[in-house]
Parts: sequence; C-alpha cells; structure tokens
Amino acid sequence: MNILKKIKSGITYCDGGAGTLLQSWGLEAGEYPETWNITKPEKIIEMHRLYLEAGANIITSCTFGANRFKFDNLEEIITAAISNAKTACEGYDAFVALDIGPLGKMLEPLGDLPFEKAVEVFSESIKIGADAGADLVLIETMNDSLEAKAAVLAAKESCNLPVFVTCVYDEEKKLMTGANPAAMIAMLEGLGADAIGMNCSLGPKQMLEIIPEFAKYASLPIIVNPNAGLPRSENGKTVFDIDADEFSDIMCEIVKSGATIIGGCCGTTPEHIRKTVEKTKELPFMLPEKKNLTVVSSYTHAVEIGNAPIIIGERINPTGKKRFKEALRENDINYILNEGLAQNKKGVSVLDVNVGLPEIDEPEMMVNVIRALQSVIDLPLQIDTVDPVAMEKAMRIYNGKALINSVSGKEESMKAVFPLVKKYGGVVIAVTLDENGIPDSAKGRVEIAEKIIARASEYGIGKNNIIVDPLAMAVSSDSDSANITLEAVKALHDMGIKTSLGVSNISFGLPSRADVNAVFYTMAMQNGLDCAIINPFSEEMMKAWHCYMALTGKDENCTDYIEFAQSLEPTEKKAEVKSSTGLDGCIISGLKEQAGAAAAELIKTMPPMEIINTMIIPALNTVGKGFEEKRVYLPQLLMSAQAAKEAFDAIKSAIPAGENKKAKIVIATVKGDIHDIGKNIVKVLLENYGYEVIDLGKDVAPEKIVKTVKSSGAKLVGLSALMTTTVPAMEETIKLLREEAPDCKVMVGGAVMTEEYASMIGADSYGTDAMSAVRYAEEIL
Amino acid sequence: MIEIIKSAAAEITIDPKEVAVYLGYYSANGIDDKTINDAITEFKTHSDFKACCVKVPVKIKENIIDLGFMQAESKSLRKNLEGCDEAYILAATTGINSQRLIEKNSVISPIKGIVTDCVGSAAIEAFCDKINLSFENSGFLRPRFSPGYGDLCIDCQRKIVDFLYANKNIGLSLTESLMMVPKKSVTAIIGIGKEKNKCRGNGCMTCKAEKCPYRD
Repeated sequence: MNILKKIKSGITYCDGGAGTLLQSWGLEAGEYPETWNITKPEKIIEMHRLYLEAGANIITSCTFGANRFKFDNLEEIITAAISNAKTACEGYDAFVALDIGPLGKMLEPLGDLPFEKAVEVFSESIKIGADAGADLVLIETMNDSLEAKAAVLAAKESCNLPVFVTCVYDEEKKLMTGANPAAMIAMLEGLGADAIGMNCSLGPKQMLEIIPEFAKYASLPIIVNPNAGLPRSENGKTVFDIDADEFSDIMCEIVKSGATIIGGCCGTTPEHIRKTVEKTKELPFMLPEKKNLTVVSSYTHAVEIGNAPIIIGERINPTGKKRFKEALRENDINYILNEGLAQNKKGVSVLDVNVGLPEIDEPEMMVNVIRALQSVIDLPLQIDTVDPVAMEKAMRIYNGKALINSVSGKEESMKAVFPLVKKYGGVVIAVTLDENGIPDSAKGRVEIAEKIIARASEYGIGKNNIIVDPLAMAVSSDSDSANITLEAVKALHDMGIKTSLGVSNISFGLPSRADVNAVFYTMAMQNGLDCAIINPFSEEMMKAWHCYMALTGKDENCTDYIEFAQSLEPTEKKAEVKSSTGLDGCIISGLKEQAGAAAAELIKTMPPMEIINTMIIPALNTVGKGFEEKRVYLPQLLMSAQAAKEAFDAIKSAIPAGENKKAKIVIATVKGDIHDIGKNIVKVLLENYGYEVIDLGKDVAPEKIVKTVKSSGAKLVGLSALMTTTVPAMEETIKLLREEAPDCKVMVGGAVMTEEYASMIGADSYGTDAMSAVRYAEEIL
Repeated sequence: MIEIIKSAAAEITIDPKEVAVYLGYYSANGIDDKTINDAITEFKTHSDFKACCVKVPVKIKENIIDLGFMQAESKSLRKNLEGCDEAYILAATTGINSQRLIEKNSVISPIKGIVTDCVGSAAIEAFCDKINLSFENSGFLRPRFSPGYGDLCIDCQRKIVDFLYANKNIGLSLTESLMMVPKKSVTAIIGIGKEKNKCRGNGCMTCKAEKCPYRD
C-alpha cells in the first residue's frame, strides 16, 4: 500500500520526539542530531524501532536541519538517515518520511534569503532524500508561510513523492510571521500538498482548540503532532509536563475533532505514541469532507468569497493615471505602496495589482511591487496582468493564495493560465469572451463561463477556484448592456458560480459617472455579485456598498455602516488653511498643509522658479543650518522637508519642462545590508534640494549600482552601510565604480562609518548626517 | 534548559525620553510628547516580546573566554566577565510584526518611520531590562554584553543564535552579514557575579565608537 492510500484508509500514526530523546541518550547541547546518522547509526535505528514498536506508521528521518546552510556533507547525511530509517522499518508496515525543517533564515522581504535560493536549498535536500528512497516528504515546524511555500514548491519540482506539511501555531493560533490556519490551508491546498496540519510549540490541549479551524476550512487529511506540553528543568534535566496517559487521552479528543494523522513532537516518547495508538485505533475515522470554498489568502488571513460582496481596490493600475505611470517609470515603489495603504484604510478586501506599461520590464516590476506590498500590507492581492511571464513570477513569490486576473475563454489564454493556477494555487477571474468576442446575450456569456469551467476541470482546477466576470459594457453605446450583464450575474449566481465585475465600465461616456456606477453596483449586488473591482476612494461606491451590506443584514447592528457614515466629511467647504507666517515660515516650522496652501496661493502671482529659489530653498537652508548646529533635531528637519515637498507639489505643474531639473544622484544601501532608515532620510533631503534621486533600495549588489550609474549618467552615488560586516560590500562597490564609472563621485555614511574608514575604502566623502550629504552634493554637482 | 520568556506588551514600559535620545535629542528640549507617545502605543500593539535564554558556565584563560558552546578571544568581554562562574546567554526580540510596522510607517512618512524605528530601539532595550530584573536573584549581574561590543567579534552572533535555537524558539534569524531579523532584537551575554562588580557604564559604553552621539 502506498502512503496516500494508507492515510485514506484509517488513522495513521507518526512517530514522536527525536531531539529530546537523543539528548537523553547523550546528544550534547549544540551537537547536531543529524550527525548521529553517520557516527551512531545504531542509536538512530534504535530510536526508529522504538517508535515502530509503539505503533507508528510513519518514521521521520533524522534530517530536520539537513540543508546546505548547515552541512557540507549533505548527501552523506541524508542518504545515511534514509537508510537508517529504512533499515528500522524492515518487517513493519511503515513509511519513511524525509524530514524537512526550516532553513533558519528569514526570506525576503523581511530577511535577506531570496525566495528562489530557498527553493534551491530545499530542492537539494529533497532530491537526495527522494533518490535515497524516502516514501514521502514531511515539511514540518514551519514558522513562516512563505518558507513553507518555498519548501512545497521545491518538493513538487524535485520529486514525485507525496508532500505533508505541518506548521507551528502559537497560542493566538497564528504562525510566527502572522498566518492563521485558514490562510495556511488555502495556500497549502492550492499548492497541492497531500496532508496538512500542525506540530511543535503547543501541547495537545492547545492544539485541540485549533482543530475546529482546520475542520472548517480543510479538505485534506489533518495532521496533529503536539509537544508533550511545556518543558521545565528538573535536576538539570528537561522534562515535559504531559505524560503519556494524559497525552493519549487528549489525542482521543483530537481524533474526534477530525485529525486522522497523529503523532508527537518535542518531549513525546515511544510511550506517548504507544498509548495514543492503543486508545485511538478503535475511534471512528473521519476524513474531512471536500469544502469547495472560494478562498484567497495573504500572509496573515484568508478572505472567503461568496458570503457577502467584497471590494477589490482597483487603484494600483497605471491606466489613465499620469502620476502612477511616472512612478512606474521612476521605480517609485513608495508611491505605489501608498496607493495600497490608502485603499486598505478604506476597507477593501483585496488589492488589484496591475503594473503593465509598455516601456518597463513588467515581470520584474510585478515581482518587486508584490514583494513590497506584502512587506507592509496584509490584504490578499489580485495579480492583474496579460503577460504570462509576469503572472507566473508573481504567483511564485506571492505569499499566500492569490486572486488571478484573468483568464478568458480563448484557448490560448486557458493554455497559458490554467497550468499556473494548478501549480501555484489561486482563484482565477474568468472573463466571458473568447475567439468570437463578447457575446451580446447573457446566455452567450454564461456558455463561455461553462466552457472555461469545464476546461479548468481538465487541469484539476475546481469550479470553486473560478470567479466569472460577465463583463460590464458601456450602457451609453448599448442601452441593453446593463441588463445583459445583470442577467448573466444572476444566472451564474443561481448556478452556484461566483462572480466579479469591473463595475465602472458601465458608465463610460456618460456624465456623473459615479452616480451611474453606484446604482449599477447596487443592482449587481442585488443580483448576487460577489466581487467588485472598484475605486474605493469613490464615496458613491462606498456608500452603495455600505448601505447594501446594512440593508441585507450582512452588517450586524449596522455597526460598520454607522462608523462609515460618521467618517464621511461634512459636505460644507473645509475651512481654508491659511498661513500667517508665509511659505518660508511654514517650511521652517514644518507645517505641511499650510506650506502647500501658501505655495498654491503664491503661484498665482509669482513664477515657480522664483518661489523655489527665494522661499523654499532659503527656508530649507535655515533649517539645515540649525540642524548642523544642533539647534534643530532630526524630526523637525524631516517635518520641514515634508512641508517643502508639499510646497513643491503645489507648484510643480507650473514649472516649465526642463527647468529645475537638477543633477541625478544614485543612492543605495549596500549588498548584505537591510537597514535603510538613514538612506531614506538622505533621500528625502536630497529631493528637497531638487536633485533627482534614483533610490535603489537596500541590499543592492555592486553591479546593479554601477549599471544604474552608467545608464542614468549620475555623477554622484551615495552608499550606506550599518555594520562592519557590510563595509566590505561598500568597498567592493566603490572599486567597481572606479573601474566602470571613474568620473562618478562617491559619498558614504552609516552607523559604523568614520572619516578614516571612508578614506580607507576609497570614498570621496564621508557624511555624518543627511545634511552633510546635501552639502556635498551642492559642492560638487 | 533553554527557557522561553514571553511578555505582554502592557508589561513593557517604554520611556519616551529614551526614544527622544534615539531620535537625536541630546537634551530634553523640544520633545513632541504626543508623537512619541502615540508611536509607543502603536508599536506595542504590533509587538510580540519574546526571548530565550540559558545559563552557561564561564571559564576564562587569559583573553580566551570559554562559554561551553563557544570560545572567544576578547579583552573587553574578559573585563566584563571577570569573577563570574556563570553567565546568561540571551536572545530577545520585539517580533516580526513590529518590523512590518516600522517598514509600513516609513512608507507613509519618513518622520513616522524614524520615530517608530526609535521606539523599537527603546522597546527592545526596555524588554531586556525587564528580563535582567528577573535574573537578579541569581547574583550580581554584569552589564549586558553583545557581539560586536568592544573587541568581541560579531561572528559570535551566529553561535549564540544557533545555540539558543533562537530561530525556532523566538523567530530570530541572522542575515548573511549577521544582521538580526527582526531588526529590533538583541543577543547578549550577561555575567553572573558573586559580588557587586566594579564595572561602570552600560554595555554601550564599552564600545570603541568614541564619537558616537549616544555616549555621555
């Protein structure tokens, strides 16, 4: 029997703790248990035998930390470990699981481990284990959803073995990096795991409380491997507070709640497993039923589609937005992030992400934006692109189960998109058009939807992972178009198919579009619309949504509606912000709004360059001088900088093209360095003084810096490094710059930098703070 | 045995004056109390204060300090640990969610970002101080000494993190260049002396960066 049949035929037992057991057999603190596979194989085999005798069906190889980061003799260790486990299993009806634990490093963007590197390192171990004859891969003790994803992808890409995944939840029922069970289930089921669950950190009592979450969302068999309670020290020895009797009693409850693959983790012994097997083997075997939920997830939570209408924020999209296009061209990720944060505040459930612009590298930009968004916003994202390369790259690094926009009824589209959805998981928006265009009847659109769903099922993608967009078309060009769309929404809804619409298309070509959109949106919701891609800054749309939710009983006690209504600004004109101190005074005092208002007023009577040269720059100089003399402190300096920026923005459009374009400066935190707060301050001030700053971010390779300097023609580079360990990367960057761009000056700064250090590594200038960077730029550019 | 310590945010007192010092206010003038206090409240709701520690024996032979799991050559650490038979090895963090908050606030505005960052620095110190207090009945504690202080090499950072299973226990990991993730984290050696030591100044004061503005 193979393991997949086994887990579907009855309760399956994993083994228990290894590290704790081996320690009691003499494993020293700080000694790696994996090395015993080679140095003391008889002990490892004995441990496996004890668990087999206790009744375990799955023996976990002693390879928890066996990865390239820890071991040079990886092949030797893993091969020996699998061989030890197989030797132990001889004569038993048991399976060998290749144990894969976390890598001990944090993935980007929070840490510095690139996603693909993680996949590569996991793959290396998994290939060796599979070749050595493991029956399945057990990815366990995962603290981070993205790392779990990397491990599953590695397993899927490097072998054909079944993949089981267990993660570590805390008392709050979350992973260390924030994901709850629903989010993990959505992601792991989407990736094609074969069984999922939890292990380590908690004892069986606390895990019992998490199982209902699994039972509610999971369709796969549930694995539960708890610790033997909490550890404490007794006469210098570590003991756990839940003995085999108590452990096995609670494990009975765990089986009754729906777990079918059970065992133990830290502190559990063969005795814990033996008693658990004895007490649970006669209990009813209940596999979770298939849930067929439509769920997307982020790195913290899942969003279920179908219960109540949800809003997908449409603002991260360059179409028709000059400023957004500019941000994309200039790689101004912060602007894009702010668009996301602002929509998040408005209460959207999902953010659409579209960064397609002919002149940029869309796949690269898509990956960068998704990664950046996922470091600050916990909403699920909708990957919106027509480029299959960008789509795959984004789906790969996306932390969770994404919404994908979109697939159509065209054969070419389905061929490109469905394999990706099958591999990476995801819910895909299916637009009802095909080679023959968009049908002009609801029936025609429903037929395309059915065709798409049927085709998806050939790839193994369920109807629940398809959301149909029956397309809203301008009612101004066809007066029946709204009726057709609404009829299609209703028909699809009645068939149990989820729907989505890009609502605002309906009003194209009409005046007062927001009013038309809001009414159409309400009508669509009434017909069963599940998702709407809308502009959440449109008050009319948000009113429509909040009112609908309140009126249909989906907003208990109208709580959200009341809060929303109270948040609406009174329609009376906002009191005009006026300043008595003049623009320069506002900047010096750091008064953002007033500075903007004062500049807007001045521009009516004064040329923009005169405002900049006679008011803004002198004011900044006054503050900068105060900072240098330690009369003004950093926060005040930054407040003035923001006020100046506000003033710039107010007059920017009046500046004739070509004027006031000061020199370009490239800035970056060097390779290996992930601290960028200092560099960001330097950026703010340089921009204030009118320089065009190309900010390459943090952890930037020397080659990339040099490439950017050459392509932009910048004559000054600012480099930042925080620790002594990253100064060599700074030195290397300077060296490369000298070779490839000899006429470019380099200024350096950062916590460990000193004048001596700077000259030792060949920098032209050392800046103690942001103002000194400005002064140096003014001196040489 | 490695002990895991968790503190509720309410138990951590972050002094706004400390935050002001990190912000570069060398005197108490001009502190915007509300901005700092709001940032402290926000930071606390995003923090997950966790630490792990273990007591190890200390053996000193000339400038070689043997802590069992690691040996290091360091005059400054020797000075710090002289007269101690034991030391606590500590790793502490404010959690990854607090790092996300700092990054988010940096996107919203540079000021918000830097204030939050400085609150984070004060928060992790406050958490370590609280842990220190709980150790006090073990003996007379020496100032916390971290890798990179004085002439103690930064490489010991990895040994401490590995030894404490800090990644598994509290979610603390190191980058290639030995920076800690989450950023607001501390690793330290805390000597347990038998008598009140003559050591003066905190760990920071033993650092060689004499021009550092945080020095008195």
